[in-house]
Amino acid sequence: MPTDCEHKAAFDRHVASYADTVDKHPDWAAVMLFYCAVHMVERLFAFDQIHNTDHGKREFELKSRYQSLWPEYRVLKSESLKTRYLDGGVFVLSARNVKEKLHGKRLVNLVADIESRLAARGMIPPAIVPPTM
Amino acid sequence: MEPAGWDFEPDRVMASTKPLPSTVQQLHESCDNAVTLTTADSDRFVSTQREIVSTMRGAVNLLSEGRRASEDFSTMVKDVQAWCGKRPSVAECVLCPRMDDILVVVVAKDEDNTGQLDDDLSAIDLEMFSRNKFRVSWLMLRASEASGLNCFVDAKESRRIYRAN
Repeated sequence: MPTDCEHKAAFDRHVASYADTVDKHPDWAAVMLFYCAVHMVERLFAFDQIHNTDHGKREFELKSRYQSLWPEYRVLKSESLKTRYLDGGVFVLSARNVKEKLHGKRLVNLVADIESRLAARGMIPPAIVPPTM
Repeated sequence: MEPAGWDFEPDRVMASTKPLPSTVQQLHESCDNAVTLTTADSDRFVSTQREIVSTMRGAVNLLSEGRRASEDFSTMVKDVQAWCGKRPSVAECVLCPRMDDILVVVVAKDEDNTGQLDDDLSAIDLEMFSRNKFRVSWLMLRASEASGLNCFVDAKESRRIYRAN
């Protein structure tokens, strides 16, 4: 089972990829943001001794245990799916919208919620502040 | 006398002839005595009384669960239709069965700039999750993404359950 630190490292890598990608390829940056979310929630689950091996299991656990995280997580997942499956460049979010709506709103809210949950358990993680673009 | 058409239309003939006499035996679920069951098509099953009672109970429970699931599904569809009807920003809603879940795609009339429709979708998703056992995924397409609906749903398998007037 990956540790909290390994999820944190993966989160950091995806944040860096997002920052490198967002201006040229906002659609793929949306995918990076979703994987940031995946590693953040897995970080929380790691403290529960849970390792979700697929998206379905992770979603079940999120909806069962951490409902407040679901709206942000679901939107990040949806936009990631649209990047991958909408044909012919139908993905419509501009770089600015990805930064403001997905990163600035959804991911930042998700990270803040998870950090406060970890802090409440006395497991104050190293500060995670996704870079503002 | 051999009924006419016996070889060709057994169902019709069986329905029109006198029922075969049957021996009803009381079965006990705590008994391991062997029982031979012979069906009308001459299949023969050798089992114990305990196993037969258990199998019958299982079958009855399965049928009842199936009926309940069917009712729950109809209720869910009606609830989603009502939910769509209360939201002026919903243009249509399509439901599609997939390998391991049901996908509900809500197409917006606009770009959902505030993210309100997406948030509402998450709320009904959680509500349905706590209320029934179906595994449902929800996706919102903005008006400008609506042409990509068929990227997510199989036109042959899907069913439009709501369309705004």
